[in-house]
Amino acid sequence: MVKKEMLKKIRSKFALDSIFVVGVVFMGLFLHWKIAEIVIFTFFIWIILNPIPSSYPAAGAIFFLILTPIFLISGNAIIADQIAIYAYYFLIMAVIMGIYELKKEKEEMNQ
Amino acid sequence: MEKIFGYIKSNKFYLLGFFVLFLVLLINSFPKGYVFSGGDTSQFIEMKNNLRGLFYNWQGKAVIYYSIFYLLDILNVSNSMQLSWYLGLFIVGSYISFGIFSKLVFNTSDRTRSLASLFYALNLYTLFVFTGNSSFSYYPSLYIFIPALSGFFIKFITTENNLYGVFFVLVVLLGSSGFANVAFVLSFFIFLIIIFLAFAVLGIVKIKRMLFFRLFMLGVFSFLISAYWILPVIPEIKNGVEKLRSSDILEFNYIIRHVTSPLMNTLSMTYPSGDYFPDNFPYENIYFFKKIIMMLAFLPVAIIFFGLSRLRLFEEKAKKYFLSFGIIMIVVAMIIAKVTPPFEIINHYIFSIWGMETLRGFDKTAIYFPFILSSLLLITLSQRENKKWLTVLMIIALLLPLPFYLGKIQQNMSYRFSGASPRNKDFRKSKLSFIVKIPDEYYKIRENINNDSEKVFIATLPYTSNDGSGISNFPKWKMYGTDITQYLYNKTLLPGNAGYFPDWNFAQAFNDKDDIDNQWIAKLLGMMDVKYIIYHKDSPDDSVLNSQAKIKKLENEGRIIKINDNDYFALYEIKRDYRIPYISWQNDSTQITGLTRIDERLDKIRNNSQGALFKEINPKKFEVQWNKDMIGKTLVIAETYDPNWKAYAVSKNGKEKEISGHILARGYANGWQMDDAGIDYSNIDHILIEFYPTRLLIRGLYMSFATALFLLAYLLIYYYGKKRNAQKNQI
Repeated sequence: MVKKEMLKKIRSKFALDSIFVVGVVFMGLFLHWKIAEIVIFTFFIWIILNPIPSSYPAAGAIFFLILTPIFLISGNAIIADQIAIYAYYFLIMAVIMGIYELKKEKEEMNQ
Repeated sequence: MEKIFGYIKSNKFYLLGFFVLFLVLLINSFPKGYVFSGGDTSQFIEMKNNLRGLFYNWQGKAVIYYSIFYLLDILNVSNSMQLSWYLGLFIVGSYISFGIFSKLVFNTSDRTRSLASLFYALNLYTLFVFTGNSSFSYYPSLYIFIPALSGFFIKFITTENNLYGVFFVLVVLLGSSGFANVAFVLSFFIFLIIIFLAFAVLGIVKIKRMLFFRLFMLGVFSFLISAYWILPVIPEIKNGVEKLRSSDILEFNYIIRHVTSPLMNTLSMTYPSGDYFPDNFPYENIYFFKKIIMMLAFLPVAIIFFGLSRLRLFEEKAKKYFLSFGIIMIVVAMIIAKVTPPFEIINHYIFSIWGMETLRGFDKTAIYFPFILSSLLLITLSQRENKKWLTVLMIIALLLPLPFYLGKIQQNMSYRFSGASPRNKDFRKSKLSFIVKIPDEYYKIRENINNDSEKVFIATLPYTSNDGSGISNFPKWKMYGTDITQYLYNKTLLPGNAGYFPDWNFAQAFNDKDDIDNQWIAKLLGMMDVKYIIYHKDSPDDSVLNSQAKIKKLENEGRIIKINDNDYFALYEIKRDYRIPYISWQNDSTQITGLTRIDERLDKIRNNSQGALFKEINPKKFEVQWNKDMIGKTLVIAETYDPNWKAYAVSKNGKEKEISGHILARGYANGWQMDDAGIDYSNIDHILIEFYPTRLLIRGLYMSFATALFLLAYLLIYYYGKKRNAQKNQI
């Protein structure tokens, strides 16, 4: 009985999260965002709803940061600029996740 | 002795850092006989003769900074050698300041502190500063004090110990020259708010009512200690911001879009225009290195991102501080970006707020970014001390501003040579340079001018092409910027390129007017209390071509008298009859409005004017003798119109009353009509003319001095009490 209720709860949370995410996708389309920006923003909303370790988005930030100078020196400054923006987005996500982790650690310690 | 050895042993890397900075200074020494001048700032030479003037003309701003150069000048340190002092003060000061921050906020190992402090002193931003045109002045000096100020602020808000607040306020005084450009006050205030909020989010700062009271008191004391320069600025702030908004020299909407730093540049600490290192790369033999450095410019941020990915391994305090600085980095990077993607909308609104437009320049906000990166690097390195490869990467990051280590940053790296090919990036080959040699001829006329005790001006002609800001252009000795020769003379220089009359430049009209009969220029300059004219033959050829015959004619007609003639300029004295003294009485209110009936009007003004007897109390305050015959006349001071000039009727019992009816006199100057119904003219002893901000400066000085004394007394009592307690505990 308890298991069933838990399952129901998880399902309803997943459904609610999915609605949020779909809403974000539609918002991005409505505002004429680029596909990459919609994907990143959707990911951003998803990890706020379902936190992940900060090291994951930090790794994403490193990945885009490494790509930036490669595009820059190969003469694609505009692409490099765009990729630097992605690195910045992932930096924001990593910092937010870091703060979440810290709060969670504190809560666990208090318990 | 043992104590000293112990200190050296435990701080060997930090002390080694000073040695590195010393080598940087040594290799970047400046050629003998050269000075720095270019753009809208120039080196302040001959400081022993100029500090008093600077104090009054700049209303106390930057006087602390330039006091050091005053002392150097007294000690006969040459102007070229003083350039090394500008660089030295900046990099050594920054190094020490970050060391203080590190000790205060995040005490780490000696090696880590040394590496992060060196990074703060020598990075691509500081290289940008010293290859640009504002470096050899007070202008970027806030950079030196950012870490110390932030450190004391953070300690104050986290410990709520008043002692740190006292140190913060005293450092505010010490670094006050950095706030001489008031935009830096605003940007620093915003920066402190961001720090506070970030620390509050992470729970490092506990929000309490008492803390806000303490912060309020910190603000009050910071204001009081800065009163000597803040008070004089207040009457000018509103005008300044409005001028910025309506400026046709720097159109705001254009600037906000074009003086931006996209995220890519902010993260790599490179200036977006491509005029600076590494884009501006002077080393022909290692040109392949340019792309490597462009790639490695991202290394410091990559180290920080690596730190972020290993956050779970950090100690709790390090985690909190790292994330706080992470938030600060995110917000500051956004503000620096201005209206570039992805911040076009948010920053459009932010920079539309009244006052925010003063932060339009790149450096107003970017100045904080190196400190943020250095702090994050400090924390990352401190938490990953066992990783030797990280130290190696950090040393590589330190080598990124390569020109600092290879030397001659102004001789071959200057922004002036950005368009040249690597082999032509040389101050000797370039058409223009920031380091220039003032021709000896300019020194030779000092005796003529400086021995003259009359209160008169020096005008320069002809008008030359410039960027619209009024800077001078003397290509013969590669000078394009604020006229540095002004510091050689004890009379104020009126450069021909600057504007004095609204919507009209007389020097430009003199150049443009085809009519050979130009006697009006001698009369006009005479009306403006100009005694000497320096006619620059070192100006661009077209300017000389347009004006030389006209000047010659004035000379032949005896309207101007030649005193000196050489390859660079001719020095003239204006015929005595044409000159109206600095302070004078005028019977009418004839105005000069461009060339319309100018001869007739100038004659009328001259015939209706007579010199006033006056005493100079300081360069911005004059006591004028009064007699009843002057009722109904206009008192004129030959200074460009500014509503902050005030005249006071001082009665026989010493009471002052401001004279209303401040008018634009002679089309450019300040005048007061002596027909104010509120003044009892029969009871006037004398008239006082004063530039109002100077009055506030003197009042502010008392306030600042009293505040500094109070804080020093607090420190003395604090340490005395601490010592006494320690002695008691020992007993």
